Amino acid sequence: MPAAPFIRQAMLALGISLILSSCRQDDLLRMPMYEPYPLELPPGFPDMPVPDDNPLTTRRVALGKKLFYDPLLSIDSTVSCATCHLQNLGFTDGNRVSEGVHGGLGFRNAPALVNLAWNEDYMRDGGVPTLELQVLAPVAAEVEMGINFKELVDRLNLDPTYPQLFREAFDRDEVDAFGITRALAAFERILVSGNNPYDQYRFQGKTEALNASEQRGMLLFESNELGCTHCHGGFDLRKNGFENNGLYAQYVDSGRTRVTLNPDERGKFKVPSLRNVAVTAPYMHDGSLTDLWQVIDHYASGGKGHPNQSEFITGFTLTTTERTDLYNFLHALTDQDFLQNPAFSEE
Amino acid sequence: MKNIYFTIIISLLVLLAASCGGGPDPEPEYGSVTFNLTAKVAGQDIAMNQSFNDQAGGRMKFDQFKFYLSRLELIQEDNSGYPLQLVDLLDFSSAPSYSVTFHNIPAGNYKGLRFGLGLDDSLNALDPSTFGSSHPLSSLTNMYWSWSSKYIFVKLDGYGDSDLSGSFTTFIYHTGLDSLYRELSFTDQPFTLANEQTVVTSFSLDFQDVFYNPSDTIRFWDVNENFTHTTGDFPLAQRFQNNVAAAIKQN
Repeated sequence: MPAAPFIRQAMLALGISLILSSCRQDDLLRMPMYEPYPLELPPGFPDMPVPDDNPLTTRRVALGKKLFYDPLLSIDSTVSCATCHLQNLGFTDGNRVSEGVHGGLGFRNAPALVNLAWNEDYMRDGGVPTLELQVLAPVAAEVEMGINFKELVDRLNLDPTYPQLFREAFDRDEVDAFGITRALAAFERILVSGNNPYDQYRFQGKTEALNASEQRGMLLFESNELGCTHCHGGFDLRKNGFENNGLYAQYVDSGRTRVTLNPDERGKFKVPSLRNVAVTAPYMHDGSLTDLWQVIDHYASGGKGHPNQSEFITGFTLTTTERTDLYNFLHALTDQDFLQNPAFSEE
Repeated sequence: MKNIYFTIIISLLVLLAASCGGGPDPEPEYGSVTFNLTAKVAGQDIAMNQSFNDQAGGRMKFDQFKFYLSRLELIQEDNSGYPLQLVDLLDFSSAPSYSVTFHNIPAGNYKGLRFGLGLDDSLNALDPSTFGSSHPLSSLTNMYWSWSSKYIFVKLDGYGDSDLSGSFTTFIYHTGLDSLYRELSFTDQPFTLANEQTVVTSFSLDFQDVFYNPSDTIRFWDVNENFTHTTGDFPLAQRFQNNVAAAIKQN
């Protein structure tokens, strides 16, 4: 049947043109459910990676924000995501480790939530590969929110407002695990920070954004001798990866080994961004260093020499003025717009 | 999406038209295969919250026993697999046996069955929140380590008493992580599936064998060997998983 392929092609072309004329991408985006969230990326940032199954829509972001601030997500309705991730502290909580439901204490310092979309791993040990899956971790953890997902889904389905909001944000009949994880991840993706004085100096041509001391600190930070940017370089002041920063000679917390079982990764933790670092004390995976002076002194010391210690931790010497300049520069990584942006705040 | 359906329909019509010229093929023949698996303790069917004496002078009691059985296949004569079921969560909380029957299986000779204990790396990497609430891989099944984004392959919780002294100690064995996936193959009982016939295959898993494996006893009453969440005490998890795999036998 030589005519068949031709007919098929012709029918296919006709079909495609009919569909295109009736339902264009623009029309789809005008539907409220698919209305894109109006996100503007700061100068110097690469495009934001967004998973195919979780487009950044206004409705998903709004629903995610409501969930983020809602203690209903914990077993006894006392702990929300925001309990341990406060906006004015760069979405950390100021504690060495955090208290969850029933007074339970976590064993690691709550990480800052910033520019999460560009991360390749989540959690201090990188055990979680996507922002959507990360949502499952604190919800289930007994010392954080302590609720099993079935109970949470049932609870939100009985709530007077959530089912409608989920229907409006997702083409699904009810609240489910897919919707909860996608909405929260969508909100977390918009937590973008890129307007600190260092950003303004580097990417926006505002040479007055850093004072003389901060500029000297910047040069130290970027110098080969200190080597900070080996791990804390690039647009987000971090690399994707894990390092043992020599905090201990022996680690109680196995770090990345916990999830890989590889002893060569003992004491390695995810390299964090230094954005807003001046407001995210205390520091390190266990919150054991209380201020940035201690952090600078730790790296200056060259570390405790654990076998897995990063090759970049070799120690350095600073004059008193240089030490102050570096400290001042780290404070210039605070993005006040981010800390006060009402789009991220509880309504 | 519509254009895909459209193409498929047109393609099917074309294929139908193209294939109508030949003579009639012989009627294909199909049968059914039933897969049974019963959990036992020293030969008795398992039940939760009931004490069982083992054959070594101790006893055990169970709170929960669940595991993932995946990639259940018939082994065809050329050793290729005929897939029956991708994955199911076997939960022995309310019944000692799991049973499922597969229909429309091509008649013929089969060398046996094979399946996985746990999930291979591709299944273990799936996102539980993408599955409906009744799916075995759903996040509502409580078989997931959210801190490592991995499924729990086997969950066994219970109590052990080594000498009938009357005092039970808790045991917890939760195993997972890709390297604990075990592929099991059973070829001792080849069979022929005839048209409209049902072949029943039956398996058992006895905790007498799990804990008193002749080459590796796991002291479920001993505080040093009665708890693992896999990470942190991986060697014990590995031993437990190996013993569970070895204890699954075709009847």
